[in-house]
Amino acid sequence: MTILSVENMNVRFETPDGLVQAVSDLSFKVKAGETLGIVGESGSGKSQSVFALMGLTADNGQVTGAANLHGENLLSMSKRQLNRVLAEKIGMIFQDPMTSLNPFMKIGKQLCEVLIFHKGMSKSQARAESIRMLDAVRIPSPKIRMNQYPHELSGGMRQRVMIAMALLCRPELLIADEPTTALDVTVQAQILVLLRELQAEFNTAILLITHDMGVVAEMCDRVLVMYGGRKMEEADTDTLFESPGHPYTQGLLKAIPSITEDMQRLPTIPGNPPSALINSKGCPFHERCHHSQPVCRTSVPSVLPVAGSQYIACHVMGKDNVTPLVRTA
Amino acid sequence: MLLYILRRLLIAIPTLLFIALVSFWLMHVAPGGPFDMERPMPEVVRANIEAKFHLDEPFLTQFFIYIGDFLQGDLGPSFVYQDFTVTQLVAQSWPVSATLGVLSFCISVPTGMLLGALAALNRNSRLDYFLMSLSMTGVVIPAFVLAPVMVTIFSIQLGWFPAGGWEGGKPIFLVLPVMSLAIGSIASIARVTRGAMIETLNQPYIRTARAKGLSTGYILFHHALRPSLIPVVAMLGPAFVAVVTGSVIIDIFFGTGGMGQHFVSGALNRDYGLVMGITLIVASLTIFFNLVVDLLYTIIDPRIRI
Repeated sequence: MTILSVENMNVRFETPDGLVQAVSDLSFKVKAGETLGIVGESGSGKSQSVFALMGLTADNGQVTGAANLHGENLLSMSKRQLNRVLAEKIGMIFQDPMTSLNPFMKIGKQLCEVLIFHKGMSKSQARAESIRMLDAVRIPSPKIRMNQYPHELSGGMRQRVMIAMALLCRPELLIADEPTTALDVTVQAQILVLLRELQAEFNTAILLITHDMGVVAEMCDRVLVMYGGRKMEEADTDTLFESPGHPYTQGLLKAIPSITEDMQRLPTIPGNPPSALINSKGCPFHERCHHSQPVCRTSVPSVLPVAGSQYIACHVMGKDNVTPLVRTA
Repeated sequence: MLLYILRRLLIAIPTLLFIALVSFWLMHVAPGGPFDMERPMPEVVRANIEAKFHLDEPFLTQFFIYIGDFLQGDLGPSFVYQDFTVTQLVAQSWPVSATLGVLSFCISVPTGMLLGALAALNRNSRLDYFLMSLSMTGVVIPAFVLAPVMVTIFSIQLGWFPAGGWEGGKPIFLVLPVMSLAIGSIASIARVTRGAMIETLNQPYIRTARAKGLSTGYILFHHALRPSLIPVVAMLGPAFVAVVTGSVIIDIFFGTGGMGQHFVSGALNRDYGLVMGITLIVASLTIFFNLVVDLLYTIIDPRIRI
């Protein structure tokens, strides 16, 4: 069952330098209980697309399109309606747990306020429920934590608090914006395991934003690859790693260092991501693409199925020939 | 906590002594003295007067005599207002300045913060531009322009308030001087509050609060207010001292008889005793309110510990 369906979403910003198109024509669906990964490099529009869903786009931004959550369009809701949906149906955790919790407020209050605000609980009910949730995210001695301030907790603990906070109202969808980027490697693994366990426990769908292919392989059922604000490829995780369709995805996967092969130099994708200011007519990747054809410069490829549930936006690879990735030694 | 306060108060003693020494020295090296008249006075009279005020002693001896008296609570005689001691002059004028100062402070802090918060919330809107141009005007207009303009409008043309005087502090006499003092403070407090508020509203934890679906009003009061107070409190300590120790311009223009006029006339007349007395009062208050501000920080921000 589809719980969230995003259709033709565009996010634009008016800046002193001109109009910046952060997200173009993005469409995707999230099914109940699944994990959808959104990968892309910095500036590819992955964070901006979820901020737009949450109504967190900066004041100079403008969002068009539709994002239906059970038939209700999040993008056309009033602030009041959206606030009701947030936390109750969609929870969100952010990249940096060091700055995402309010340093001036006790952990307990930051948790309880969600329940008091959305569930109309009394203070003592909210407190009991918050302690239960801290326990669920495996925080030791949760009662003590309730009276502590964020700076008294380690980074991993704070991210657990963030997760507990996002799950308080048992939302159907949890948006995780690079939840492990700011943590050290061992803590990263713990947080990912925790997210998977909680997903099974609460039957929550997860929209996981990351630039770490390892995290994708470990966590996601399906993956959406973004570049220059557009969807380049969407596929099951296994398919994506076995036979990436889009030249950009192929380049990304080649750039993952391997511990079994002897590499002198890590393969990279030559060139730089396009500026979001220059709204070129063609495929955003054409300047860096080995397979680039004249048509790539003049028209944006549409997202079309190649095989089964794999979709790519490419003039060259999209037609009939998906060449499987050959790792060059 | 108590230990910290005690330590800070102890450190204040050498600080005050040093301030006293420097200002004492500055007063004495300034050319002229309290008894220089256009018509030279007879040598004998002069020597008598100087002996009475210890002016014939070496500089350091004079200083120690002054400090000795000060420690016994005696600010010494006024060199110019011969019938008064400095303590009497201060006791007479300080309540006036303090009343005006505290009143203007009580008006300017809430008003300034409210206007600043309003501007921050409607950032880059017409309201914001309007409030900020108004406050810039308030900051740049000096009191000696503002006071006469207010008197022209409200006393002379509209006749609502008296143009000056004190009359034992009748409310109607307070309005114009308090307003003249408050307008500048309102303007600068509004600017600082706006800056602090905008800074806070851009923090990631405010984004978290919004993602939690909390209402804007709730986020402002519970999440954004406390962090925004820190820069405001930092400026309020010294501002409070400045405003309760009197303003020359207000005192002279409205003839309220506050402490500010004594400070300036004392300096001009080389009234060593009066200037020293007021200097030490201002210095002690500054040190004390800086301590208060530091203690307030620890209440506002849980990360700050002393």
